[in-house]
Amino acid sequence: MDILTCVFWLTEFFFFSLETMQWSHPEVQGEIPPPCRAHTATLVDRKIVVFGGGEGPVYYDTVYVLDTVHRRWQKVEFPADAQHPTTRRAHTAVYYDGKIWVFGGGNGSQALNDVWTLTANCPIEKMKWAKVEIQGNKQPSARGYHTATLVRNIMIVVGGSDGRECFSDIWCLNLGKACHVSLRMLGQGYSSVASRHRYTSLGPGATRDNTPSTFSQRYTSGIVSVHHWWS
Amino acid sequence: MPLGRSDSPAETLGDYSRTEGGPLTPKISNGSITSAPYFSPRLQHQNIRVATGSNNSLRSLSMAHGDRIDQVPHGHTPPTSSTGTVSGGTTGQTVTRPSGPRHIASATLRPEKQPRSASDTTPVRGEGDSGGGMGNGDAEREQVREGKTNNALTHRTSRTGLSARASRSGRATPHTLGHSSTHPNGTSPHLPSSSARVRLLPYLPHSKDSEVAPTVQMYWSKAPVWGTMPNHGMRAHSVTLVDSVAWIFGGCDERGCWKDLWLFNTGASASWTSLHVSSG
Repeated sequence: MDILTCVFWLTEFFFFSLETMQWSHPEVQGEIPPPCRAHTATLVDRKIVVFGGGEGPVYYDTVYVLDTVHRRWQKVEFPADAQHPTTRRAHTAVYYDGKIWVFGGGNGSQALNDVWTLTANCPIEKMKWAKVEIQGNKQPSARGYHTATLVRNIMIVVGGSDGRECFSDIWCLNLGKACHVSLRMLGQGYSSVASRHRYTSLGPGATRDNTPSTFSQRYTSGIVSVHHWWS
Repeated sequence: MPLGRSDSPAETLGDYSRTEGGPLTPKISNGSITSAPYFSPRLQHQNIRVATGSNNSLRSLSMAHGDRIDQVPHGHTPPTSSTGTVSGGTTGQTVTRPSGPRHIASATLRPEKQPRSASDTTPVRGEGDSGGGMGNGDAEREQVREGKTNNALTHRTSRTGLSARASRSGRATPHTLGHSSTHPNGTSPHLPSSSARVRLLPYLPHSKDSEVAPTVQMYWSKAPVWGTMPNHGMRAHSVTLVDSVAWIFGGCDERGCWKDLWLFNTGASASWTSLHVSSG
């Protein structure tokens, strides 16, 4: 069933797989991360970079890389004196320009709004954290459980919570200029997807409904402007 | 999962029932809607079928359902309202929708006020619903989508000898089909005398110049999965899509956190792969 068609051509076999909607539970090798939730998993060149998360009262600041080709985990070891983000959960991450951009989350005692990059398009031993200094005074308040979606060079952050209050504001972080742009309040969600220029937020938000909303935007000379939400 | 908000009296007009398989799937109690969100590829354009011997048309359809097309609040329009395929019950009328995005020009035809919930967009029963000369009660629900709908409807209704022009008269918006006049005979024998609002275009409340999303892709439906399935619930996990395979790691349930890895092949991009073998 896995392989429906097999064509022999010289020394190559070509497979056309029609398997769909199939679950599998693969065996993986290497240094498997501990039980973890509320982490981020970012795809970088067929490798999944897992950062942060936690279990129970424990919060992580570790980075693991899963090679999806060889199905092997590897923990990334950083120099002891290298700067790195604090432990956190419920943060978000996007991959842009060879770096994983991490925003926000919470460390168990407070919510965060710092931005970090992890150089990821390199061998594991050369991965490096760097704190991003945001230009200007505008910054989203500290938060976790938000969503972040990369649309071109913009990291769109929607909603979230600081543990007391649920937010519904939208922030665009220009990763090229490292500055935030605030947008008017429109909605929030826990999960999101982006396709080309359109961003779809799928609830449920903490205080709203579960209605899918689509957020379109256009760019003019790097300036983000919201054309509309429609819901 | 709510199907729509009910913060308006107009919401009471809806007749959606909650379904297990699809939160936004319309379900008609008499079974006139079967698998609403799904469309066969052959239904890429309007397909309006009028039962043999039926004298109904767009006009009679509109008359049958009355005019409940105006003065509805802004808000959400669930995709079910615009993509459902509804068989016309005993009348044999079937109105289906074109798929894919529509041209921006359609946005200019937006009505002033719009519904907030799924129920708003469902043809519903209203005044005089209990018969009223239609004879079919609430057995019929019609959902019409825009696109080439108007032209198609006009064409088809011309063939039936009745004008679709009337359906766009009065307060009816281009998004809706509805008519407040009566059948020449005073009745529409194959349609209920229920009030209904039939929307031709999905709402884009804030858009004037944007393409309409392919709402056919915006339905929830339960996937027919198979294979070695996860044996525990999970939340706060991560899902990373590698090609068409979702790599799912971690998460937790009421028992604690997990460190296992699951793969789910979406099959979204069935493609050729090659395996190099060495000779000898």
